[in-house]
Amino acid sequence: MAIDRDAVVSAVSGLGIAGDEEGMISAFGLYLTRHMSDYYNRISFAAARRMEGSGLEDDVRALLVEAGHVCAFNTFGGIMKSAEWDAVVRPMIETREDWIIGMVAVINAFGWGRWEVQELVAGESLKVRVEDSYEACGWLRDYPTSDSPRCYLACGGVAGLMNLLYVGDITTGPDLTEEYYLQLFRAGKRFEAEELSCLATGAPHCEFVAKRVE
Amino acid sequence: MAGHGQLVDEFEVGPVQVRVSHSCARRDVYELSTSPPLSEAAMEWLRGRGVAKVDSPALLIVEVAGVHQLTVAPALGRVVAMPKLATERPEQREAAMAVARALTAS
Repeated sequence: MAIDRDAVVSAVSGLGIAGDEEGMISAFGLYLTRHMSDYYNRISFAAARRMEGSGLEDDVRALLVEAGHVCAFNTFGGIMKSAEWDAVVRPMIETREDWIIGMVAVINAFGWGRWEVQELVAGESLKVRVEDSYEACGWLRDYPTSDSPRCYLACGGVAGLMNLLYVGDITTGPDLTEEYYLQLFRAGKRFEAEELSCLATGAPHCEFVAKRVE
Repeated sequence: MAGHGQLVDEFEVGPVQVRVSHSCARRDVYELSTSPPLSEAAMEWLRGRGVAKVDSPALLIVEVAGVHQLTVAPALGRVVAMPKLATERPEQREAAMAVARALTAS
């Protein structure tokens, strides 16, 4: 692969991503906020725990993963359309798959954990390992070892990467509208991800695989 | 009302193509594209708008206080104007048009 991941992390870290006088972070063509991961974790985990034993556990998980899909669509999609991407990452891109390798490098500048692509089969599957996922680390700090994976946002993010590249075509700079979101994330051949192992369950790291819905 | 990310306007100012996308209830984002690369005169004009947060051969990010942030990929002839929350849409448009006119002139 042509992507120099360290160079991408270094470049993104040097973008001066910080709130302005209005508290907003204007970066990658997006208005971002610096969000406390503990806050997001706690409301996510509180919702999940509240539903334990209700029979709605899978529904809560689906909703929290869906938040990850929306995040991936707008944030990853916005980044891959941005002038910053064009300046920093795009010159290194040689193959279609480099779009995902480059985006994972950008993610690693955000402090969500250390993401690494383990395997990418073009148009078919993506396996990602995450060390020190902020979701799993947050779970272990506040709760006992979990009996199920807890990295909901990352799970949605991994599927989102594949949907942006192989269900839609982020390389053509599409408008990231609600209609386009529905095309990508409700399509019959969309990707969904599963967290195969999770630090929160006692595994050494978190691993995700995204595959097409059968 | 337009939804997030929806293209709300598209037009040309001389050789500069302008795409306006709905960002939120108060802001639109302006994407200006022209034949690459941007000239040194254009880059100097853009630098002079405010404080450069990043100034490298590949990327220029200029914070224009109270107006917008300009993100410039000179090799691709691309400038993105992201308005500040305090500005109203007519001001946002006028500020972006000033950039488009400057790119046209240089």
